[in-house]
Amino acid sequence: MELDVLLHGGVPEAPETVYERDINNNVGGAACRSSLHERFAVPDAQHELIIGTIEVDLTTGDIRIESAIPDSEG
Amino acid sequence: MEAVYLVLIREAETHTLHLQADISAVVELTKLGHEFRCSPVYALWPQEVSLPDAQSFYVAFFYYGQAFTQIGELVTSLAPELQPYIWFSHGLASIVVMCNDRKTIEAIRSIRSESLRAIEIWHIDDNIVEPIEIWTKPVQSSESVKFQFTKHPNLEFDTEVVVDSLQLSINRAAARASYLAPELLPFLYDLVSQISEILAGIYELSHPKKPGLPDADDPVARLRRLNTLTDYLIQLNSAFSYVSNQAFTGGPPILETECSYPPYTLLGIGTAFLSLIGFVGFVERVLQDFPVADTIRQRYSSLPGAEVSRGLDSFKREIWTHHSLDIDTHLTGVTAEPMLPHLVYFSGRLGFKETHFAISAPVQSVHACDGVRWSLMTLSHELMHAHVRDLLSAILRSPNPEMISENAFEQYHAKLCEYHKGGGPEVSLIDTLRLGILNYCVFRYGCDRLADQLQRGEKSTSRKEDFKVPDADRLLDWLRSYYRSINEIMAHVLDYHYFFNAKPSVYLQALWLSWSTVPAVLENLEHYILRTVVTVSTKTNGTIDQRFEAALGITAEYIVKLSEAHPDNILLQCARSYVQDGSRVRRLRILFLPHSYLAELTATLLVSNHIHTALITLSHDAEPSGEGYKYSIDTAEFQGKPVEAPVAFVAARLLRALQEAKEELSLEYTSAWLFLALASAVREDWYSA
Repeated sequence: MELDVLLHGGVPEAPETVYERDINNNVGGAACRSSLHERFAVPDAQHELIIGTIEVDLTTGDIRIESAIPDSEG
Repeated sequence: MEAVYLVLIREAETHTLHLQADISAVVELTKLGHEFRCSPVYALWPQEVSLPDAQSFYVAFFYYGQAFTQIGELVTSLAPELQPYIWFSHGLASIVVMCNDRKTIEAIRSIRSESLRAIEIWHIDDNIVEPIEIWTKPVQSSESVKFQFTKHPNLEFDTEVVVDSLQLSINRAAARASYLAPELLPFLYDLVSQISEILAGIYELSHPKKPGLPDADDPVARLRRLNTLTDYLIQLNSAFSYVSNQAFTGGPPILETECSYPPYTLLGIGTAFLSLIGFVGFVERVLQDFPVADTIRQRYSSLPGAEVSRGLDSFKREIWTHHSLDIDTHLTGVTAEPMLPHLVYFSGRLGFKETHFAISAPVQSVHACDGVRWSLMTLSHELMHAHVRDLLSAILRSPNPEMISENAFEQYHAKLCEYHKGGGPEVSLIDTLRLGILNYCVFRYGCDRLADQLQRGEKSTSRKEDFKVPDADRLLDWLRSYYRSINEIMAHVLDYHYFFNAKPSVYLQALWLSWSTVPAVLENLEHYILRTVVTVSTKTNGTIDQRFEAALGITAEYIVKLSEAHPDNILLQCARSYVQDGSRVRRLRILFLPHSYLAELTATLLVSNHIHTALITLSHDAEPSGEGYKYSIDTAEFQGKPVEAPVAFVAARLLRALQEAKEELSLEYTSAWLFLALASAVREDWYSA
């Protein structure tokens, strides 16, 4: 089968991306993809320490990064 | 005529020898039922070859220590009319003489005869081979006992099988090395002593009641360690079978030892093997002389560290550039732990690859190591993988991510949380490295998710992700899943700084032309471009964004140049499209951020100038030339002196290949010459025995 695809063409199943694999391994796979919110839900969120955010502006491509506690100067 | 193939055919009890011009002609000679072996040999003077009268002639196979310098001696000492009879090979019989008069052989034999280790002479009469002399230099003393592993009773049967196999393989190799390549004996001693340590570990773990064993009460942890050590033995046994076949076949009597690598089955590739040792052994010696990982193990817990940055927005490499954090400040006086030298061999399947105990080079290198795509310079990257594994094991206190103690990791995690909650910067230098790697995991996770969001078509005008430190279990999962990436980025950065002077020209061209032959690159192009940009960025300046722009510009410039020079190279065309595609570059910019952080950690805290200097500029034969090196030994030249700076020598050959210097000789010919030259670099004192 694989050889046939290699010799005569065809579209093999797309390999799992690193991100998808991470989601599948950690938060339950396809069931978590029903909405954006669920997809990024982390079961043990109460143990997380938010240290900052990263945001990208899709119009300009600008990236904004913010830290919860900024580093001291110098 | 540059080369001729010696073809040996066994017909019943008779061996016949035939001289053929190329492999097609060799194939035409083969017949069912007739064993055959062959090897190419290369003319010392291709313009003045003198082939003997085929009806009746002599072939002499000379086994010299330092064949490269020996040929230089022959060139200056031997009557010019005799030199056209001299050929060289990839085998341990590195000098081959074919002539109609035995006096020619004796004349050659008389020059520096003290460095002759063995000789085999055949008389060929109407193609029929008659061995008329086999001489080997007597081995002065028998030290075979030094090659015996320390015995341990009551090992598992299946472990015993592997141990016995390995023991016999090493004894056979040592027996052959003692007269054919005694410079390899210290290498084998070191190997045996390290295997004995592994066996001692297996024995202790198999007998958990022994007092003092740290994890005697944790059967799972013990089994994990036992499995790892047993796996080490299996890997060693497998790799050593390649080494044994490639290093020592082709020795006298030639009719009895067959190399399994066509088209070198007659004389083997012993000299090519030695050249791998010449490069790898040299680098390992330098890394032993400046033991970065052992310095981290022995000193970094008690040295004051530095901030690791609470966010990517405020990260500046200058937080790690203080003299007190420089690895070179702390290297002096540290005792290096003995290191198991890597086994090296050519592999048709693995290509350039590093595993725990072995580094392989592709068989294509045997034909074309003097070109760009199969240059032995790529070994530097594989060596850096091993070095990085050692560094990570020192930083994380575990030989691999699976064996990181959960208790220890909880402490690392607690320290990271404390730091991000605004706790004081009172961290040790090992904490700085450790927290930096964990920070990378946190930044990486957030950036990967944001980059992935870019690919979804939603109506909002922005995408946002949190950077968050999860609980210890999850952070350990991230570390384990990113471990290969961490090793890869660190290996790239160290390779770039140590072997390419952190200059992009040679590095980028060599990298992308060698990647053209690796199928995985096309399948994961983004990652390979990312690696490249991140590595180059460690020598650009400005904010993290400015460094991205500068490094992307440099990378794109060379990819475009290469794609224009190689219009049929599909990978380069794809890479060019990628770096010129705005939406892909936008994604790349996000992915760049955490990797750049890790690369800066490596470049500022783990690159040793002492190592760089020792690797590249140890010899006055090498001098900088443009972005690479020039070496005083020219193509196909035999000066009568060995190569003393193997890295600079190979780097110079690579630069020459990139400049597409017009060679009158074929790539196959100059590659065979390169092996001879590089094999001359091997030193017994690289090893501890």
